[in-house]
Amino acid sequence: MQWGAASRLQQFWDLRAACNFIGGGTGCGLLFWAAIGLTSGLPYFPAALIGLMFVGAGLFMVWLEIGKPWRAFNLFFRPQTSWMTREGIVALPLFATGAIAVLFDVQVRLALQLPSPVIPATLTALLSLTFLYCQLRLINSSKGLPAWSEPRVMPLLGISGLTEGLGIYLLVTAFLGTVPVLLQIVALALIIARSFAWNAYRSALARTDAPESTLAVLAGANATFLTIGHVFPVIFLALGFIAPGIATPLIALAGIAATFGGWYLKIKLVTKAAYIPKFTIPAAPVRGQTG
Amino acid sequence: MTRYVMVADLRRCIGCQTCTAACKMANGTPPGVQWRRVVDMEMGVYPDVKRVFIPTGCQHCSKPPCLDVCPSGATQQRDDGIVHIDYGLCIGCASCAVACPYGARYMVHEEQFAYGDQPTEDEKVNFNADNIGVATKCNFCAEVIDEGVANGLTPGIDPEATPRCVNSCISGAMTFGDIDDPESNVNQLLQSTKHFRMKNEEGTCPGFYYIVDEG
Repeated sequence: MQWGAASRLQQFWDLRAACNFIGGGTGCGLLFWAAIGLTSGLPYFPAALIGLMFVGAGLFMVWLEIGKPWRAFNLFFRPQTSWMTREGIVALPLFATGAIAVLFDVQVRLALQLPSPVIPATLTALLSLTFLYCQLRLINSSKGLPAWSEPRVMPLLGISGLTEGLGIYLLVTAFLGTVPVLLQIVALALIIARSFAWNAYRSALARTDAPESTLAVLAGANATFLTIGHVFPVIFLALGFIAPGIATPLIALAGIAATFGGWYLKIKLVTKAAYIPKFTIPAAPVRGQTG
Repeated sequence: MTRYVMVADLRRCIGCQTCTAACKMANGTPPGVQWRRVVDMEMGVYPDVKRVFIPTGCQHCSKPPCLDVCPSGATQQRDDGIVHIDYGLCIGCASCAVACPYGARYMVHEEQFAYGDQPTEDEKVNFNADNIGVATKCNFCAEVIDEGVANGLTPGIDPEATPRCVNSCISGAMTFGDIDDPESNVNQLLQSTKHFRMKNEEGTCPGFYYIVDEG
């Protein structure tokens, strides 16, 4: 059926845009948890570097998406209202403080006698949260698409970003050594919180005039999202508590599953669920009067 | 002040798409891009069904969602209410396209012509390569309006100062004018009829009115 008489899937933002939200969410979450871990004596350098790479890769994918990539500098022109402009502005100090924090990390610091990385790492964590917030507002400002303009999409994607970041952080810390129990408990809490945010988002969307196609796509994604992103990691973490001997690989698997679940959600949300509602008119025109 | 608006009388529109053709010809838009579009809708439940034709496109909202999200400042709003795009500034991020509740924005990433690789005679004249890779949309034929006003003409009254879709409408369904002028054609029309604005509940305050009945 013709667009307007029926709803239409947006095709302006594709997988590249989804990758921006994946890279931004995962990278910012990772930078945040790496800074938290640093205060507990966990290694900062590998996780923070990977976090910066995620954010950078996401921005690179956006650069590939835009129609005039060589004009990309123009995106800084409207900080008054545009969350995309603000995202770009925050990215600059984020990379600067992130690079300094990575450089100041323990190993390098000892070798070059540099100051502690705690201050730049904390700044990076704050900037990464700001960057993530800009992304949430950016997607929520898409008033043409109920799947994105529903306000509960922001807590959902915010929690998911932190969960994805923690998922990768669990993987990195598991690879480097022991994962503190507290981190595993926080991961469990975030995974549960994300499932609640997902249900709240879908329920709120169902109460609006969102296109049926949007609701159907989200309903279709429900089982996969909950299974990969929630059931699997909870099982892996629980098994890790039961069998401490194999806890490390199980925690790593839990981290991967929690992260993949978030990525799956974002791909669905950006490329499959974003329908522009059809037109509706309050009354049929009364013909034969103007003849 | 001047606030230009479009009025579409749905009682008159017959869905002939002449406005669409006139717009495409004047602006040399690529295949699939219709700044002025006529939606063909069914209303009611069988056997009491009606066919309704709804001319649509950019609604030139007073509070356009596309304006705030534009990171480059390419989307701009004039004092007379016309929302337009500076194609030289636009980076083609499509933020505006996903912000528009009316689906009024288009983007094409490569040159396309109506019939094969070579432009038609019209496309040779009207095709604008600057529109590739950027968001595009209706601008109420602002260049025509500006030139007409500069020559002392009245948009909506004098064809030389009126959007092409309005001039081309064979049933007189489309009217253009200044809603801030109490004596204007659009004001007279709206005062004597029942009308609505599409998706006005979104808070966009569209500059596009649809007439459905007598007042």
